[in-house]
Amino acid sequence: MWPLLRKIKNTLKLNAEKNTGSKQAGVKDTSEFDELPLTANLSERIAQIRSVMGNSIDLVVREFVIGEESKAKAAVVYLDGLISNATVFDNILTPLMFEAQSIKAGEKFSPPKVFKKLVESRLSAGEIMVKENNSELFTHLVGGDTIIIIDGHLSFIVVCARAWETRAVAEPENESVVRGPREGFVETLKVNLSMVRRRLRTPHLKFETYYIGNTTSTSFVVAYLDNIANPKLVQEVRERLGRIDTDAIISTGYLEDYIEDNSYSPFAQTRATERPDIVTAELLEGKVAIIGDNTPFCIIVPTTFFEQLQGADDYYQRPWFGAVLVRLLRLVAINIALLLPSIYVAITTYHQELLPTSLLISISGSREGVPFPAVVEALIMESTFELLREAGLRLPSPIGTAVSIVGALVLGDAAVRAGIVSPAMVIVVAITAIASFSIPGFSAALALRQLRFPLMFLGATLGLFGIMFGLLVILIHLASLRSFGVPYMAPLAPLMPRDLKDIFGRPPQWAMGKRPRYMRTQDPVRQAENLKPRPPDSGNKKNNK
Amino acid sequence: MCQIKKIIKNILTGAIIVFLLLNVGCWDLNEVEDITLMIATGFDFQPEEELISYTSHLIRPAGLAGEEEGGGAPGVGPVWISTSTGKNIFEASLNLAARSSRVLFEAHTRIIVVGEELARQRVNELVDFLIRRREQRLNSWILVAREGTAAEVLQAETELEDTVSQEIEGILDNQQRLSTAPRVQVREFVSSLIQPGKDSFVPVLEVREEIQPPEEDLLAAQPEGETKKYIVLQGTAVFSGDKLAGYLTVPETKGLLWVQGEVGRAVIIPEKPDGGQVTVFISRARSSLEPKFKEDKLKIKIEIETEGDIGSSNIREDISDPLVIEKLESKLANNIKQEVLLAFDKSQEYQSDFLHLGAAFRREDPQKWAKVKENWRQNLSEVEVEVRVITELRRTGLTTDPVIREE
Amino acid sequence: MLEQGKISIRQATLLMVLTILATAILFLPSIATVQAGQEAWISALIATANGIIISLLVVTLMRRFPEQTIIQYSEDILGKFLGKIVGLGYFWFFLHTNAIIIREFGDFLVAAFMPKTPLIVFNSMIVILAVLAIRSGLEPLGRLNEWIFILFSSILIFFTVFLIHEMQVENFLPVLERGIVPALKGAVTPTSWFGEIILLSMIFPFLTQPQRGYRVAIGAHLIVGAFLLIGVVQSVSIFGPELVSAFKFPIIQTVRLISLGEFLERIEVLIMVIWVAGVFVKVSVFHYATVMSAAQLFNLTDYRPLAIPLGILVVILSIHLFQGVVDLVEFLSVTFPVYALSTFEVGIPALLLVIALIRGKGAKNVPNKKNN
Repeated sequence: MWPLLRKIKNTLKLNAEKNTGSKQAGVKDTSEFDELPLTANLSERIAQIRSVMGNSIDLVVREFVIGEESKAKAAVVYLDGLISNATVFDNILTPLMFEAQSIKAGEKFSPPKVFKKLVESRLSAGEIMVKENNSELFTHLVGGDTIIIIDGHLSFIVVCARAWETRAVAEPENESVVRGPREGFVETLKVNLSMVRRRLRTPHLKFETYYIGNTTSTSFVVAYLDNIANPKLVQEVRERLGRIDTDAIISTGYLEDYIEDNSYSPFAQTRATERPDIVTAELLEGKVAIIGDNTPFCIIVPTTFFEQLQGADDYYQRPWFGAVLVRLLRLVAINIALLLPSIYVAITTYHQELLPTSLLISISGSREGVPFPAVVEALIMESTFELLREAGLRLPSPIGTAVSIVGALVLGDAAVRAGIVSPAMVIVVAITAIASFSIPGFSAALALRQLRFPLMFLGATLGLFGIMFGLLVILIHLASLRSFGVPYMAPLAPLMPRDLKDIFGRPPQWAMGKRPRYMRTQDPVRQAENLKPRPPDSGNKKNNK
Repeated sequence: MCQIKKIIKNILTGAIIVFLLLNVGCWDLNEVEDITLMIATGFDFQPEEELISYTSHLIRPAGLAGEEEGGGAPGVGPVWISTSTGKNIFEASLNLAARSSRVLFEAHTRIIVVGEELARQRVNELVDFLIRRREQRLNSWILVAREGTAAEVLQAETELEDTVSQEIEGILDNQQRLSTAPRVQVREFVSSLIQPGKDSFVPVLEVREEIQPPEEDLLAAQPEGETKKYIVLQGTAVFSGDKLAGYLTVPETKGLLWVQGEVGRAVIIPEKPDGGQVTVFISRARSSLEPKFKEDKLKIKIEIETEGDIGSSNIREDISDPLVIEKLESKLANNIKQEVLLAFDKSQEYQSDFLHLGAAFRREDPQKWAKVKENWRQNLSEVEVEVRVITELRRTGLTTDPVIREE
Repeated sequence: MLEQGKISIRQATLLMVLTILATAILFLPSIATVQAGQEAWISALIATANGIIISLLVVTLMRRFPEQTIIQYSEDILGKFLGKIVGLGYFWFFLHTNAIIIREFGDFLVAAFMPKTPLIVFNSMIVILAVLAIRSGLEPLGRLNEWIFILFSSILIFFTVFLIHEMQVENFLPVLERGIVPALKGAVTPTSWFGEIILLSMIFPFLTQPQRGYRVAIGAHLIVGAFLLIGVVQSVSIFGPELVSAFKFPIIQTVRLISLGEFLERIEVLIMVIWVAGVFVKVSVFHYATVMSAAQLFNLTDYRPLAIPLGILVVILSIHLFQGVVDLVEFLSVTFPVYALSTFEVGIPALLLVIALIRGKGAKNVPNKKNN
């Protein structure tokens, strides 16, 4: 009994445990390679490198001689495909082989001097580092940098000349807008960073890099505006990232699981987006973005329930009535997607008095001959629909859409005719599905879709009371959920009236004078006051404040 | 090993929880196709056998959802009319349920018809039944079947609607414009019943027969010359306490409605015995009661204000003349006064305070009321009533002068 | 502290409102009308006034010990032994009253909506919700409650507005037919409900601004009084006092009358659903008080493990306390007011305050805390 209770207690524990991890972020564990004996001999070193890397076909070792007269042997080591050939050839090999005149044989070889000379005056590449450890050699080699080893020197030079094939910048499929920029992130970190940088042209935009994952060493950049974001928030992000000690982080999706407050919740506590303009807007509200390599999805923390429902479009369309309708519609859609099947089952099973008499008569008439009770009907239809949806996702696009639509229609119609389900149920399921598709934010819709099923059970066993019970459980969970310290249901609960206007409607930009209160930013004021557009003053009074 | 045990334990716990949850509930479950809607109910009392009869209209879903059969053949149709009996109302309703293959769902009952005998003898039983039941609504309409049983009423044939209950509902709706009978909800009925100084009243349904003229139409299910039973809503039944005391005719009902302040539209003013008539649509009516205790005399002044438009006129005088209008107004006022006095007479005769005069006295001075309330109904004859009517005729339709003028 | 969170003044006020209102609005029209007839609305006003007096008394006591709950400072005032006894008494009070509330709730649902469902189902479900709610501390409940309050009150007002045309003012006349005494009698039980403000003493230490404690209590009482007035006015004006006193739950009957264009009818189930949320808040607050007082009595570091066992206890208690509804109603109208008011709601706090003043315990003035 007690283990059961303990288990219940543990699963119900909703508070995140604060971790005081002390591990530094960014330190990668390649210390295994430090055990290899350090040697200054070029050929030994090359042999070491080859043995560690195996005989990879993409490992290129180019031995050459620096300068035309000297006998300083050197080698350039890199992984083909990760570097830009042009840079390596033009900016490394060319100067070293043709133009480095000054290293004459017999000249006093003081290693620092040579290096200094090379680094300062010969190599015309942008990013250059001088390192000594073996582990760092390998780290940089697999990271895509070019290593220059000079015979007789323990230190080596690392040149960053990375370039590889990357996807063209295109509009993200899942977040398309009618009016607005069509750029989306790609899989290369630098390109992504550049997109953000272009939009936030301020020195306050800070990027901090982390390499997470022992085997993957994926680079993640934590981006924030240091004059706006709450420093405690940034510190918390740093700590959570630093705590991660695992093999692989393949994309930001993995990262989410490690840093979020409550992994058991069906609701996502981070927001993933492919659009740089959304990232920009969020950073300006004081949030922190984590941009990752090899994935176009960037994570934004913290987030609230209502932010997940915002689409990018909203801010580019007309304010007030244009977007208000859409936002309200979304709120209605959430409720429908979550509640409609269960309410239908509950009402037709327990509370028939709620329906107007004629509606009740026609529903009961249409359900004559249907062998299943309402809840089983609902389950069958809903599961079938989920199957269809999944099938539609897997098939290539033209067939996929066709299958979904045709499948739904035909199946529904045939099922009604065969007397397996009633037409009312088909309608209910169809409306639910449409409502769940109209919710922006894939994870939010997913959460609601999942929660539908337990609610259906509750509605079938205890009517509307059961649904209320389930709803209250969900609401309790939501009310206690926090995302990096921000209550998940802000600004609705706790009630922050000033920020409510952005949930239920979209005020024009001149009305959004302050940043959201729940972010506790350092500088809450966004803009000057009195920016509402006015007709020009008559007379000669000046207009600005 | 320990891990596996843990896993098994967790799985078992989860399974137990899931099964428990699945077993929960469904006590009150009623699938839609397992219920039948009761849309009208009739209560009768047969004094000889001391039995209560319980009639109801139960919807047949299949018949209404799809195609309609040509109406008329008994036994098949959208509604199943069934009657059952028992020693009291509850038992009668149980006996009805015993005959039904589906669960009876009372929540959609809109019409309740009370047979005359029951109204005379067993109203309190009925009232208790109506209030205590979970599913009954207090805003259903209640009516009395005169000289007949509720069962007969519910089995009458319909003109425009599918079922008698819809007919009755529709006719009640129309009453707002006709004012030949009041509209009473169950809650008003019960509330008047138990409040001191009030008596309840209920509209009256009668079943009449008429000979059906022979139809040319070959599709008619009626053979020639058959009689057709139809219902008529007219008049009021008044109660003294919890017993039916008597009936009011249409003019008396009008009087009652004037005092309640709920008159609808048409009033006819006879001008002269031979001179033609003017009809008036009443657009607003308001009444107020001013009771006065004068020594031991009880006086009450009933003041009625009303506004109307002229609906039609076939008198010869020119109704666009203000003098004529004034004459008409005073004629109308007199009419109304007569109707009210007729109602009051009947109230005294039946010893039923359906005009709620007692309540007015009680509001005015509760202590003095406490002294007279003992035999209030008998004392009604002692009450002096003064009626004052103010009428205004505002509009005259789309024309002014009568088109055919007196030459 | 056992509790980490803090709740704001507004949240605390709304919590108290819903705590008192959830069951009061259901039972008050009927109970008050039995005694007071058409003067039930005066009873409501009298009860509100009484409530305000009680809150003045009680909050003064709380303000002398702004960082402690009543369990803790009764030890301070009376010494360890007596203090623990008082604390135990309060623990019992919270537990017992919670059981009564849960029983009321279950009875209502079974009688009005789902007659065949066994009582224990409803009772245990509401307790499960309460246990879940307090697991995360007071804050989430406070947050959620802000929203539940808005929902609750707008539904009430919405229903009332739709029933305006059914109301008849004559049902309130004659006024004071039998003098003021019936109205006073009718106010006794409601006053005991207002006395539930003593629960504030378990939340008081967690307020962000304890110096505004008066606002919380008086504000809550005013709001509750307003809504109760609306509830009474609605029922009595529509049905008349005699009928209302015959009903057990007049609110259902009034809501049943709402008919919007023939299709929005029979919506009393919606009332039930919203009201469940209200009762959930009340039961959660009471359960929180129960669990917290037990934790403080036994000097535990964390109150959470007690939530489930006490929950089970309260469910069992709720089932076995009463035989049936008649029992329950009689207890509510006759026994409960006298017992509760004289002891835990008013009597003991008054005693504590007096002794505290005599012995000079507790701070005179509450330090002003800045709002976070």
